[in-house]
Amino acid sequence: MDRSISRQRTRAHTSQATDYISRLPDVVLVYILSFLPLKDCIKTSALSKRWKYLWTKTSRLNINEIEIIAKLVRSNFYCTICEDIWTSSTTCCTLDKFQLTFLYDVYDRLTKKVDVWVRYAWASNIKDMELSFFNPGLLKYFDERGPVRTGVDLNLLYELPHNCLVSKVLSSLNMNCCKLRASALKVFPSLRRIFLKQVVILDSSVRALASKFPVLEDLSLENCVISKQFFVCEEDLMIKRLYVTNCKPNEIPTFEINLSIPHLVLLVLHGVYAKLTSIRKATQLLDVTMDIRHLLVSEEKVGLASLLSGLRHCQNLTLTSWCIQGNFFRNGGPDIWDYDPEQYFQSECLSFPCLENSLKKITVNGFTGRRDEMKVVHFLLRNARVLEEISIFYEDAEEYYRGAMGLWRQNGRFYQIFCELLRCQRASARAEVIFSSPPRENVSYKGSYYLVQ
Amino acid sequence: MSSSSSSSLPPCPKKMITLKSSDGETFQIEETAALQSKTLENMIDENCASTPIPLRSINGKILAKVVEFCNKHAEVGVDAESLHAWDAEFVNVEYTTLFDYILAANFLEIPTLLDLASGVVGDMIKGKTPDEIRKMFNINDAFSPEEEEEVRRANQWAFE
Repeated sequence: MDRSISRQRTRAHTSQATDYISRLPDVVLVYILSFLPLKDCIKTSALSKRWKYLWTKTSRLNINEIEIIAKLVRSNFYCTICEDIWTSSTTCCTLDKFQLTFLYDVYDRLTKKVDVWVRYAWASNIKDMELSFFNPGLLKYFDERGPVRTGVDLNLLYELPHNCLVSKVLSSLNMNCCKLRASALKVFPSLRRIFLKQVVILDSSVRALASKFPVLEDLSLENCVISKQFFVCEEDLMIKRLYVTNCKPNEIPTFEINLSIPHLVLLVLHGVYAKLTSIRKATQLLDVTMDIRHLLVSEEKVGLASLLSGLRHCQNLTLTSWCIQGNFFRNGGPDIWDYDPEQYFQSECLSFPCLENSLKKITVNGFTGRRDEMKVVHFLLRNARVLEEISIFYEDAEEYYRGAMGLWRQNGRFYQIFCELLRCQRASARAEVIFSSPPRENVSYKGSYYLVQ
Repeated sequence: MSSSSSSSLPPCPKKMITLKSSDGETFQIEETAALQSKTLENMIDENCASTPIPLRSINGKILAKVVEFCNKHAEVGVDAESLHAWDAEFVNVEYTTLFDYILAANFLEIPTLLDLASGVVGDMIKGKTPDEIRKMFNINDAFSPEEEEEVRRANQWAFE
């Protein structure tokens, strides 16, 4: 008993009492630790001998406290905690989730150190990993509508290291704010989901990603810089879900989509410009969202309808009025106002199988009530036999609210649109037409009309 | 737990299973509610649930509460907010009881209860110094001062 006096004093009152928490098994204590931020987690290592290494076994580790990391990167303690974690994760257990946020600055000359980290991380037994390399100088380059064309030097971004070994456990990877050259990576044998945000992809085609991620199911690109031919690929792409939000090439605003994706079930496209040439073999698609402000379709194709006519099982369809104005049935053209969709479909020998038997919900965003938009809505309602709901979000909030408060004039435009929607013939008796204000969170009055026939 | 649904459906008696605590008390629980426990689910699947299931590590007082928890979470039509309030009240108990819940939830593999109670313990630990945590839980297999100093030094930033 060679304890110091001070320790005896601090512990005196506890000597008789029961130790409540120590009867819990390690696995439970580790589970409790997984609810704590890293700092609190590490603090428990000073509790007692039993607690010393418990925190290194936690299955969820979140190192995203930017300031701490910045401090750590610049000190040697950084390496200490990492070693603790890596030793434990490579020898005994698997981490379910690991998040790491760097404040990356190329002028700190820490690139090599960060490389070592990423190599360790990829090779460790981690199932779900999120790595962020934020660079405050570059954040303004990626605004919410995607990368902007300014004179930002993309060399300032961190590039993921080449030829790293990858663990067989890694199944989900999130990467933010960095550069990626998939062709220079080793194969990720078990990676099913990849989410890239504000990432500059240096490969010229999605093929490079597909070849390195052989079992990939989810591909999500948000605010990424891609080459203009990135989504052009002759070979089949085996993914199931594709999300492309506000991506664009660095030098020009638009990119082309020309893919063959036989297993695709979910497709979400958001952005300003895109050229849709074709999406082939996507007959399994269940859920489609097309929200491209300026969607170009190539001349030889017949617009969005050509994609949609290939859908056999689609249940949910979301379109923005940008997508249906003019180019829904064909690529613009002067006679767009006058022609009849049904006749057109017959003449082009196009059928719309999902309208016959699967399409249940349609959403139209940014509806302005132009005649070509109305035609599309009419067409969908007249032909969708199993439709349950069509939600139409009116673009002009102010006009909508005036209308909603009963201030519309009988011959006003809003009133006419309203009445026309009400009169639409519906193929499905169950179809509800919901006419709403634009979905905005900060609008206090949000109403919708259920148009009953 | 009333028999309000008995009239709406054709007679299909609710399947009940019996649990027996370490001190010999027995409890009846509907099979649908019991399915929240992976351990019980396995026993039901393997047809081992026709006789009372002995749970030697859980006493009657705790088992009663666990059954109450499972029943509450199996109720239909409870809105998230009131369930949340109910949960908060459920774990508003002494440390001993709370750790008993955790042990029971761990043994019976009830993720909702384990998460709930572990989260509460996590919140207690959050933001406290090691000394405060030791006092709170009466942890007494201590380090020597030198050892403790070494641990603190290894990850000094966390203790600042």
